[in-house]
Amino acid sequence: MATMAQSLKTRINSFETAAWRYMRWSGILLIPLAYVHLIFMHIINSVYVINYQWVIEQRWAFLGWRIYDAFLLWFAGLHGFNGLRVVINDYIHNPIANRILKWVLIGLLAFIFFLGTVALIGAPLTPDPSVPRETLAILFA
Amino acid sequence: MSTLVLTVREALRYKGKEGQLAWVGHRLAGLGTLLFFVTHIIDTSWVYFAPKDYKLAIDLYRAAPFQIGELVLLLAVIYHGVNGIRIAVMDWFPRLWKRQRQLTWATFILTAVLYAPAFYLMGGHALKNLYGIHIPGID
Repeated sequence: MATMAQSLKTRINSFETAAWRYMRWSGILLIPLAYVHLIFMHIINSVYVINYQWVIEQRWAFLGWRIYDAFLLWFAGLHGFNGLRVVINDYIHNPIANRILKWVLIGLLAFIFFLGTVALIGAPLTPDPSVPRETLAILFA
Repeated sequence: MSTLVLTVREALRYKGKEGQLAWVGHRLAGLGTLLFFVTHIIDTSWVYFAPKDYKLAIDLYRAAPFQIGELVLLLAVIYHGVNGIRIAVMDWFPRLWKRQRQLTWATFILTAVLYAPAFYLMGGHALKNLYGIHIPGID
């Protein structure tokens, strides 16, 4: 038993081990992060409440929400993209196609992280007055 | 592509019962959530990059087909989380492997229990704002 464990240990791919550990621990962290986000944004509030001014005034005017959203962006983004990497490895066995998809994946992840992070840091504390406020745009508000 | 066809065919042929269902569900829920995540970061970033166009994205999410999508998204996130806990707990306590069938069913039931109020309340927002239908608990 000990020799088997040892021989397994020598064959461990450290990147895959780190990726697996990351999935486990980020998954546990994402349960409160994602569930609270869903409850607050989709159930207490809704997409009928959310608009440009609401995002700035009710959410991003508070530093705490920006940090919260940053955590969700980075942890969920890396968790999801690593998941997709595993799926690609499961189904795309052609080495060239596999490699191309991995690069597309890294590019897309970088793009998403860039968009989200810049928006979280750069968005103003008060809404841009030139953006019109919603006047009961919904059918039966 | 042939790998994908093979995978789908064998997944249908393989009689893995609830364990396989849990695995397929976890994968589909993860991929679906990732698809929405990418879309959602792009639209939310418009708050900074294109504030005037943010309304376009929000109006799209308010439409009925996307509301159905949002209900599916809730189910996907709830299930992926609950099933993820089951996998982690089974890894930490290997003696639970003897009860994996019961634990899988517990996952399905807990998902349904958490999803039911979420479905009701989110669906209530959609009914009210899309069709003017008021259900109890939605002001």
